[in-house]
This record gives sequence, C-alpha cells and structure tokens, in this order.
Amino acid sequence: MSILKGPSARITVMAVVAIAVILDLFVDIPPFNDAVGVITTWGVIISGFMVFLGGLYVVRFQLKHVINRSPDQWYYSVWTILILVITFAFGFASLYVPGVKDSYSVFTSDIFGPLSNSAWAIIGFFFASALFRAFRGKNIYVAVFVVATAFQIFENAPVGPIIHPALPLIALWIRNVPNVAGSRGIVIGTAIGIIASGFRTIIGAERRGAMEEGGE
Amino acid sequence: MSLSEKIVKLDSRYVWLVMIVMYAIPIVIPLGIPITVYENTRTLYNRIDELGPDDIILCEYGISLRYLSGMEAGSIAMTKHMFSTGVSIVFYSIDPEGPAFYGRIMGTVKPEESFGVKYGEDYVYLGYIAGQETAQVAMMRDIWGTVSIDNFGNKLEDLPLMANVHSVDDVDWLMAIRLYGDQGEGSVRAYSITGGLMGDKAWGTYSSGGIVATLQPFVHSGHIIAAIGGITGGAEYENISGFLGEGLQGTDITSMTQMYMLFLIIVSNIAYFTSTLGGKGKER
Amino acid sequence: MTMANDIILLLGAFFAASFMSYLYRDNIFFKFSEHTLVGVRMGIVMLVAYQSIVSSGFIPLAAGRWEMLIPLILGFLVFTTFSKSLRWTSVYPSSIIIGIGIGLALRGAILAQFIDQITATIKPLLLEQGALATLDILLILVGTISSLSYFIFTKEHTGSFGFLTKIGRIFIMAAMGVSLGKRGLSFLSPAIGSMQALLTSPGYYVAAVAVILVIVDINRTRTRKNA
Repeated sequence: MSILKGPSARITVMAVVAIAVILDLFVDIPPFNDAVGVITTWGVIISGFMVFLGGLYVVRFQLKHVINRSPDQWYYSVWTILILVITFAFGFASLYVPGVKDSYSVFTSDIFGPLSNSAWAIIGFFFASALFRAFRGKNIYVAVFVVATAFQIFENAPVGPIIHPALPLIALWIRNVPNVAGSRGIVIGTAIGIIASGFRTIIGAERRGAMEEGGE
Repeated sequence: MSLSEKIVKLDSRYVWLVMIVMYAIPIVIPLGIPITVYENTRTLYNRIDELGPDDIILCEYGISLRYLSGMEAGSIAMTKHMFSTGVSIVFYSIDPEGPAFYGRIMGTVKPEESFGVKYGEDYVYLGYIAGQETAQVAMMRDIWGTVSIDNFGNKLEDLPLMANVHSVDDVDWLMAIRLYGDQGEGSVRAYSITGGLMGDKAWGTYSSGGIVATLQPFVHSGHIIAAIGGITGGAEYENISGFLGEGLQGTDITSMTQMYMLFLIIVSNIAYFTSTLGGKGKER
Repeated sequence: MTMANDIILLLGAFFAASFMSYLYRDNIFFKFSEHTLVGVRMGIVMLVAYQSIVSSGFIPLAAGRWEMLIPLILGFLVFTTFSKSLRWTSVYPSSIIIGIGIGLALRGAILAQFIDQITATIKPLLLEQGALATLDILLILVGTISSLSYFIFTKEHTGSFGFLTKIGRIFIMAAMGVSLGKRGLSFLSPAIGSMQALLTSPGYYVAAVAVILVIVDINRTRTRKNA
C-alpha cells in the first residue's frame, strides 16, 4: 500500500500514459492505437469529474465563509451557494422533466448571457486607464510596443481606412511580418520549453502540483 | 502643478467618464461608418462558400458568454452562411458555456425556419465535452467512442447524420468559433497534427480579437486557413456574407472607443515627456 | 414586447448598471451581482460536466462497455481530495490526465510548433517571388532567429550576440504590441452590450435610477467631508 501512496507509482502511471500517447502518432499498430484512443476517452471522462470538482471547491470555499460568519461576506456566500444549487437543480430538471428545457434555455441565454457579459464590461475601462498610465515610450522597446499597438487600432476601427487608407495596410504588414517573426520565436521557444518540461515530468524530475500527494 | 503633470496624475474616473460618453454617442446617434473587408475575412468567407450539400463539417462551437456582445453578431452571420451553403454540420463545444451560447445563437438563426434544414439530418449538436485538448483529440479519433448522446439526450444511433460521421476522416473541414485560453497552440496540435487538418484541409477560426495576432504564425505555416476575430471581424463577415445584423452598431462604437484609446496613448505620452516627471526620467 | 421579455431586459440592465457601478466605488449592488455570476456560472458548469460524464461514461457502461468502469471509478476518486486519509488516491486520475496532456503536448509541439514553424520560415526562401515579398521573408527569418536567441539564457547577452538579442527583443515587443492592440478589441467589446442595455428601452429607467443614486452618494460624501 505504501508503494501506491509514494511518488514512484504515480510517476510510472503518468510516464506510461505519456509515452503511449506520444508513440501513438508515430506507430501504426491498430490494437495499440485503439488502446490509446480508449485512454484518451478516459481522459474526457476524468476531466468531466474534475470540472465538477471545481464547482464543489467553490461551494466549499463559500461554505467556509458561512461557517466562520466572515464579516461583510457570509450573507453573499449564502446567496452564492443558494443560486448555484438552484441553477444546477433547474438545469438538472430540464434534462429529465418535460417542459422545463425551454425555460432553462431562456435562463442561460437571455439572463446568464448578459450577466456574464456585463461582468467583463469594466475590463475595458481598466484597459483604458492602463493605456493612459503605463503606455509611455520610455525606451526603444516600449516605443516599438506602443507604435505596434497604435497601428492595430487603425485596423480594429472601421474609421481607420477613412483617416488614411495606408494606416490599416501598415497595420496588416506589421501583423503579417514583424508579428509573425516575434510570435514564431515565442512559439518555437514555448515548444522547446514544453519538450524539456515534458521529458522532465516523464522521467520524474518534476515533482510539483498534482504530482504531490493531495496536490490542489 | 503644470498642465502636463495634471494630465499625468489625472484621476482614472475622468478617463472612464469620457469613455462612457464614447460608448453612448453611437448608440444614440448611429454613425454608419462603412466597413472595410480585409483579406483574412475574405479567405474564410470563400472557404465556407466552397462548401456544399455533399460536404460535412465539424464545428467547434462555443464562446464564453462574457464576450457575447463582441462576438454574437459575427457568430450569427457565420452560422447563417454555413447553413445557407447546404453543408451538414456537427456542432460540439469544448467550453462549458458552449451549450448556452449554442442556444442563444440558434434562437436567433432559427435554422429550420430560415434554411429548411432538419435537426438530426442536416445538423446535430453534441453538447459540451470535457477535457479541452484531450476532448478535441478524442473527437478527431473517434466521435462515437467519445460521446453517446447529443446535447438534447438523443442517442447517436437515432441521428441519421451521425451514421456517416465517426471521426475526422469522415468530414471535409473544420471550423472553430471559440475563445482560446492557451494562445491557440492546443487546438493547432489537436486539429492540425492529430486530425491532419492542414494544407488543403487547413481549418478556420473566429475568436476574440487578441488571438488573431498569436495565431498568425500558424496561418503563415498553413495549419490554419484564416483567423478572424472580435467585433470588427464579425462585422466584416456580416458585410461580405450579406447576413446583416447588429454588428454595424457595434463597429461604430468600436471606432469611437478605439480612437479614444489612441487619443489617450498620444496625450499621455506628450504629457509625460513634457512634464517634469518625464524630463527628469523619474518613474511615476 | 411581452412582460416577461421586459423583465429579462430590466434584469440585464440592472446587472449592467451594478457591474459598472464598481467604476464609481465598491458597493452592495456590485457584490450581489458578482456573487450571482459566480453561483450561476458554477451551477451551469457543474451541469454540463455531469452531462459530459453521462454521455461519455455512464451511457456506454449501461450499453455493455464494461471497460468504462475504470475511468468512472478513477473519476470518483477525484472527490477524495476532501478526505485527508484518502486524498492520496486522487493523484492517480490526475496522473492519467497529466500523462495524456504531456503526450499530446509533446507530440504536437515537436511537429506543429517546432518543425513546421522552422520549415515555414525557411521554405518560402526557396520559392520564386517578387522583391518586396522576398524582403518580408528575410525579415521574418531574421526576426525569428533573433527573437529565439533572446530566450537563450545560458550565454551572456553581450557583444554581437547581445546585438542579435536586442533585435529579437524589438521583434518580440512588436508581436506583444500587435497582440495587445488586437486584445484591446476584445477588452472593449463587452461594455458595448452593457451600454446598449442601459441606453435602450426599458434599460434607461435603470440607468436613470443608477445615476440618481451616484449623485446622492457624491452629495452625501461631500456633506460628510465638509462636516
């Protein structure tokens, strides 16, 4: 039992699965490929449980506030848990009780949609004040950054070509040439990072996060 | 305190107040600024227009509703265009808010009434599939092994369209209308590498504005045929497809707010460099 | 317009005003809407996760695919994180997910992000095209090499190598600028829906009430300061 609790067993499981999935792309042995396909489906199922777990963590977090009677917070937490349970129950009923599906659909698309959209509305305002406060061309690098951003604005805004037809064309050139070059360097660098950290995890050199007991 | 220093230290709430006015003007007085359709949008439109009744496409379909007002109009136009070509579509979502998004868009598109298509025969919606890249790869390999019912509880065996669609080998193209949390690389790995959808079969995507820049290397390398984004991309698509909607009012607002952003950048830079703070090289 | 439709629109306007009121200051309306969003969203997410598990796991199991018992049991093990004594079992489903993720990322990264990107940088040089197009391709080649060199931290960025990394930094900043510029589009668009909700019927009643409340609060704060 202690072997199952230790890191070796977990790393072995992870490494075997990872190597099988990698080899699957390069090896054409139908039983092996089918087995990897089955494991991929297992991943979908386990992911579903993990997404559900995320919801339970939210409930646990809010429950802590309710139990501890956190000042100025606990009554909001009660409301959060209540509305979560009501939403889930409503949706669950829509799956199995005739006549509820349409109401639930209206709830998610016409009430939740604008609610979610409104929450992100203030991001734009903070973006504006960030531009105003931090976007100063103090050196050549920041100046390039600011100029590249400014030109994209002319492509984003339909009024751009009206101000001058060349402005969005310059923006497109910046997007298709310097941006591709810079982004490609980042993409290749990221790939090297993924390859390096992937191999480190497979051989057990990475021991962080979910690889540790009870990692949350 | 000089004017430059006052501007540099201006309370953000004044910036926000003017911004609210910038949002409000085009709503109260529509400006009707004409849209320019750029090459990316044209490429995507032409690719979808090539599809026909003999084709079947997979459509990853679902954006987080936080970007609803930015992407709704474009998504509606694209969906209508796909239905108008007569192509058969298998929709599915990787985003948990995908089913809510699907319900909202289809509530406007009304495919049965508008295009004479029939659910189950011409299009199906398989619902949310958990796992992000894992789910995408699973769908490429074996759709019937990944899901057994659609979003509405119908078994796949009862959906005539699904009889001929078991994996990516049975489809002609893929379109992704979604947001990307990982700069898009996961989808490129899943669709282009596992699914083999590149070159002539390169897939297309409509997403938020930011991802268009980060996906550009993959457009350049032939993994993606075209990536368009945001409210402007959606309005361009409305314009070129002829399925006009609410995108135009949104682009008027976009023009006002984007120009205001530019104004803020210019004013803050001038103020900073002419103020004593910029002159002495001090950080605020 | 039906009454139900009006109520839905008023609710949308209320949430729009509540979230935008945070720009003035934190308040009970914002907190209430924020917590409503969290609760509703998690309720929806948990439901679709349930549907995904049923579709991918339980229904095939009921149809006779007994091998689905394994991922379903592993999935339930995920919930043992709530138990201190059984928590160690929850790492096994995580190990499988991480293994799949690493495998997919590695094989995809080697091909799409590494080999294909290098090919796409060099291959156009071998094709015949005009002078401007060749210049663009050379610029992409120089930019890619220089921006990659910026990430080499095992060699000091001095001398001619340092000059190369400085060029790379400029290309990276250009890419960041383009990304932020396009991202600005997505940051600014959610507010379009909120403003439309508040400036069209029946939302402008909510907007009017919100403005009155803000004016009252400003006056009250001023009175308190003067007192």
